[in-house]
Amino acid sequence: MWTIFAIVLLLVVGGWLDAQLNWSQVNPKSVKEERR
Amino acid sequence: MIAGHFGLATGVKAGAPRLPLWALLLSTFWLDVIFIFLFAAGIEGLTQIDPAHPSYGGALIHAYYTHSLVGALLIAAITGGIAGLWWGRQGGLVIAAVIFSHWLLDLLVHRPDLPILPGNAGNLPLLGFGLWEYPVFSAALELALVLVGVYLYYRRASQLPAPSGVAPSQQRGRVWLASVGTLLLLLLVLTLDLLSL
Repeated sequence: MWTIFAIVLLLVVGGWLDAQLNWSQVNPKSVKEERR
Repeated sequence: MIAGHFGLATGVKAGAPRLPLWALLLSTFWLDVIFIFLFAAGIEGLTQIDPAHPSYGGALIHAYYTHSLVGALLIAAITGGIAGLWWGRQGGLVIAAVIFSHWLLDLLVHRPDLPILPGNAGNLPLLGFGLWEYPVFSAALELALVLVGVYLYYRRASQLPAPSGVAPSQQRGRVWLASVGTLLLLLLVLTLDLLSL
């Protein structure tokens, strides 16, 4: 039961923290170029 | 295996950054979500090998629909198709792949209890390499998936430009918070699973 609670917490809190980052500005090409 | 699935999904975010993390996390657990409903309906179930002492990985899972090879592929294809309506064809394919990755990781750790066809039609051999017989190794695998997944997530997030009006130091703080917060939550899931709580 506690594991399920932690999973829900992970989905909600982890998802929220992730949403605070501006992933929409990712440009895959520019990231690849940066790696080169 | 629970945390290992989520660790893998976190790492996938590095290669599919436009997909929200919650969607990847939910996808990697999607077979188990459906399993929970079928479990409640009495269609699927699980048996503790030692009922008096439930332990990490100490169960045989009778999930002959959600965790059959063909069933998992079907669920992945259907869900991926629906997800593609929101996140495009590539996003749908990633979601489908993450859903099916659950079956592949389960194949590593489960004792032979994974059927090939839904309902174990034809009574074909059940699959599972049984890493759960060696809990230290399966726990180490889960921990490795968590650590590598969060590292890949952090590395990709660090490349994000700061939004206008957000100082670079503040952006770094957000990346750290998201990465460390997710890591701590994954470790919490792993710990609780190891303790069978």
